[in-house]
Amino acid sequence: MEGTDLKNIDLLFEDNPNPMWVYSPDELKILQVNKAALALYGYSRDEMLSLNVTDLWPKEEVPKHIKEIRKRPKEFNNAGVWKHNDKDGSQVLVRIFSNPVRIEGENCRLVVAQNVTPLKEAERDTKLRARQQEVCAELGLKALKGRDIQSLFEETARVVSDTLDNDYCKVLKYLPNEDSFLLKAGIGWKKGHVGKTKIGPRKQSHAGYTLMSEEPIIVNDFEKEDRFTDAFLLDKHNVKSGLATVIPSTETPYGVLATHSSVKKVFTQDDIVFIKTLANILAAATERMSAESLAQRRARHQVMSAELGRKAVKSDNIKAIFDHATRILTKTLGNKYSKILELLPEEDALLLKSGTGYDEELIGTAKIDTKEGSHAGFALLGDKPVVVEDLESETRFKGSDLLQKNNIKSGVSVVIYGKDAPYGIVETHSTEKKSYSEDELVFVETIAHFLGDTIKRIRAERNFKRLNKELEKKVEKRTRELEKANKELESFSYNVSHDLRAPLRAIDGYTSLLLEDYYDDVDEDGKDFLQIVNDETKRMGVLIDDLLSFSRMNRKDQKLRHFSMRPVVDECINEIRQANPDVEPHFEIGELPEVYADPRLIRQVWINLLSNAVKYRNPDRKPEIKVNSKFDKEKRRYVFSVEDNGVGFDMKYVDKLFGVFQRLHSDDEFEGTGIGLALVQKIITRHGGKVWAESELNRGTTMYFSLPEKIEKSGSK
Amino acid sequence: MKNHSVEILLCEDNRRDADLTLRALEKRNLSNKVVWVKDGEEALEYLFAKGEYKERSINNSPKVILLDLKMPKIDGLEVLKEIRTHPETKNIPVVVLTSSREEQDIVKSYEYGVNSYIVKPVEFNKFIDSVAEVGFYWLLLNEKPNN
Repeated sequence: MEGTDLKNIDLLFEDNPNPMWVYSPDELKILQVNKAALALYGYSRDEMLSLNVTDLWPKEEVPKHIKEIRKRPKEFNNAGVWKHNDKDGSQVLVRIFSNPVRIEGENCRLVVAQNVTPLKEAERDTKLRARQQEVCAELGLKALKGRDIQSLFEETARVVSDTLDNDYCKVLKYLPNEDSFLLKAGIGWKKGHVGKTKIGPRKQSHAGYTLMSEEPIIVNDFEKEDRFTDAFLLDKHNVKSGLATVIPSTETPYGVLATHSSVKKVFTQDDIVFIKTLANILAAATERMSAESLAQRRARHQVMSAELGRKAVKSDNIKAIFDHATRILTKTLGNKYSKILELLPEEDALLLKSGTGYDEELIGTAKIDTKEGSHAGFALLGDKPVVVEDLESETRFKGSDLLQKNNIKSGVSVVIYGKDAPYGIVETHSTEKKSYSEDELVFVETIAHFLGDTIKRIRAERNFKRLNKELEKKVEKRTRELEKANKELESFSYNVSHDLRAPLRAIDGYTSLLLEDYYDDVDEDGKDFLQIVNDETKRMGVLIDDLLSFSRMNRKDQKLRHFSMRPVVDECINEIRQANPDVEPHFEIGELPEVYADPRLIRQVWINLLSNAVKYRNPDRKPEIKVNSKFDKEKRRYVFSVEDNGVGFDMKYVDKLFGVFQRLHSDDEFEGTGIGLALVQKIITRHGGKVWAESELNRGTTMYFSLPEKIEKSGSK
Repeated sequence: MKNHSVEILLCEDNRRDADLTLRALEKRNLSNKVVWVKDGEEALEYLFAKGEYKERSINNSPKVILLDLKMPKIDGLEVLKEIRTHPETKNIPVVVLTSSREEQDIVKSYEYGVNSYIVKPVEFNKFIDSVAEVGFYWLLLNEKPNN
C-alpha cells in the first residue's frame, strides 16, 4: 500500500460498505476490522480485535476450515460462501474474498465479506422461481395443445398477475396499419377496456417504447418516468410500476405482454425472465396457428368433428351435444363466440339454444329476428353457408344486436337441416376481422351436418317411443275391455246356468213324483215318456253343472303349492274304480314327480283324463291304462301321459278335441257333454302348460299334458 | 217335546223348491212340524215373533232351520247373521239349502256360523236323500245344548 494516501485507505477500508478484516495467516488472529464488519457481527471493535477468525466459524467446522486454509496457495482469492456466527450465535451467510497483503512488513490476509441475502429470503425466491417455471411449463403445454389463442391470452394474464402478485396484466396486439395496440386480453382493468381499448401511438406508451427497444422495459416508478409520456390507461388505473416485454414474431412482432402494479415495485431478473418466457410461449403459439399447414388443420378438424359424431351417436341429450359442438367450434377455429340457434317459424325468430362466449343468462332466452338483417337470418334465407370477413364493411346485413354488442367482426353461419325443414343455425364469430379458408368452412358445415343428423335421430326416437307408448296404452285398454267383457260373459253364463237349475229341478221333481206316486194311473207309454223326460232332465243337469264348473274355472284363484302327484292319481283311480264297478280297468302307474301347482285343479285334470280313458274303452277288451311322466330338460317341464287301449279317434278331428261342447262321439256311443277336455285344457293352460293327444282309431289314445318346472306367475288365460 | 212345537223352519222363496222340499220331508215322515216362510223378512218375523207372528212365543224355537240363500228382501246370509247375533236364536242349527255352488257363498255361510251347507241337486231323488239326511241328523241325532 505504498504511496497510498492514508485518508484513501480509511475510505477504502474503514468506510467500505462491505465487512472487512485483516488477520494473521499463522495465528489466525484478527488484526484489523472495519465498521461494516462490526455491524454485521455485533461486536465492539475491542471485542472483535481480541478474537481469532476461528471464533467466527461454527465450532464443528473449525478443523475442516483450518485444514483448507493451510492447503491454499498464496494467491487464493475467492473462498466462496461461508457460514459464520455473529456475537449472538446467529448464522450469517457471507461470501468471502481473501487476499494476501503486507502490513508493516508482515504477511497478512485481507478479507472482504459480502453479506449474502438471508436464507429465508433466498428460499422464498427459489420457491417463486419454481412456481414461475411451473406456470411456464403449464402454459407451454396448453399452447401446444389448444387452438384457442384468446383463452391462452386470458390464462396468461391471469397467471402473470397471480404469480407476480400484480394488480394488472395485459396482452396487447400490435396493429401495424394503425400504429396502435389493441387490448386483446387482460386482468384487473376496469370493465369495457378488454377487447376494445386501443393504445397508441407507439412512441408515447410503455408498450410502444418496449416494442421499439425490443427489450423488456421496467418502470419502478411511473411518476419519475420520462422515456414515454402518454399512458392514459395506466394513469386511469393509478399504476405505479410495471414490466413490459415484446411478444416477438419472425416478421412484425405480435404485440406486447405487460404487467403493472399499483405500488412502486422493484422487478427482479427472475421476474423479467418469467415474463420473457411467457411472451415467447405466446409468440410460438400465435406463430404455430398461422403456420399450421392445411393438411394439419384438416386433420385437426376431422378429429374434432369425429369426436362430436361419436358423442352424438351415443347420447340423446340434445343440449349436451349442442354444448359440445359450440365448444369445439370455438376451440378449433380460435373464435371467441359460437352458438346454435333453433328456428321458431311462427315467431320469425331464432332462439339461442347453446353458446360459448355469450352471457350465461342469454342461453335459452335470447332471440334473434330472422328478418332484421341478422347474419343467421341471412344464412337461413339464402339456404347456404354465409361468411363475414368484416362486419363493419358488410353490406348484405348489419348483424344482430347480439353481434354488435359483443363487438363481433367476422364469422361463419351455416344452416342445420332437420327432417323436412331447417332446424336452425350453427355459427361461430370472432372479434377480429378474419377470412375463413375453405376447409374451415367445411368444418363448420360438417358440424352442422352432424347436428342435423342427431336432431333427426333423436326426434325419430322420441316419436317412436311416443308411438310405442300410445300403442301400449291402446293394447292395455283393449285388454281391459276384453277382460271386462270376459268377466261379464262368465257371470252371465254362471247366472244363466244357475237359474236354469231351479226349473230343471222342478221338472225332474214332479216327473219323479208322478212316476212314484201315480205309477199305476199312467199306462206303459206314459211311463216311458215320463222316464224320457226324467233322463233328459238329468242330462241337462249334468250339462249345466259342467258348464258351471267350466265358467267357475275362470274366476277361481289358483292356489299353488308343492305336492306329490302319485297320491292324487291313486285317489282319482280309486274314485273311478268305484264309479265303474263292472269295468275292472287295469292301471299301470310309472314314477310321478312332485309338482308345483293347484292340487284341486290338477286332481280335476286326472279325474277327467282317467275317466275318459275308462269311458272310451273298447267293448272287446279290458281297459289297460298306463300313467307315466318324464322330465323335458330342454323346456324345463314335466310331461304326463295317460295311455289307453280304447276306441281311439281319427287324428283329423284332433282340433275339435278340446273345444267346449265339441264331441267326437254320439251320445248313443258314449254319453258326455263335451266339457271335460275343454276344462282340462283350461286348467293346464292356466298353469302355463300344454295339452295334446295322440290317437289311432281302434288302437287307443294317449293324452299328454305338461306342467312347467316352475310357474313364474299364475296366468289368467 | 210339546205337541205344538215347530221342528223345521223352511225359508224358501221358490214355490216349487219349497213344495218339493216339503214332499221330500214327507216321504221320510219328517213333514209334520214344518213351517214354510217365503222370504228373509218373514223368516225373521217368525223367529223373533213380530208382525204376522207376534202372537207366537219367541221361546218356541224351531229345532232346525233350512235356509235358502237367494231370497227377496232380506237374503239368506243376512238372516243367518241375525240368527247368530241374538241369544234366543243363536244356538239353532241352520242348514243352508241352495242351488249356489259359489265358493264365496259357501265361505261366507260358514263364516256366519252355518251348521251344514247343501247344494240342491237337480235330481229329485238325490234331493230327497240330502234333505232327509239333514232332517234326520239335526232333528233326531243332534242334541241341542241346554235350552
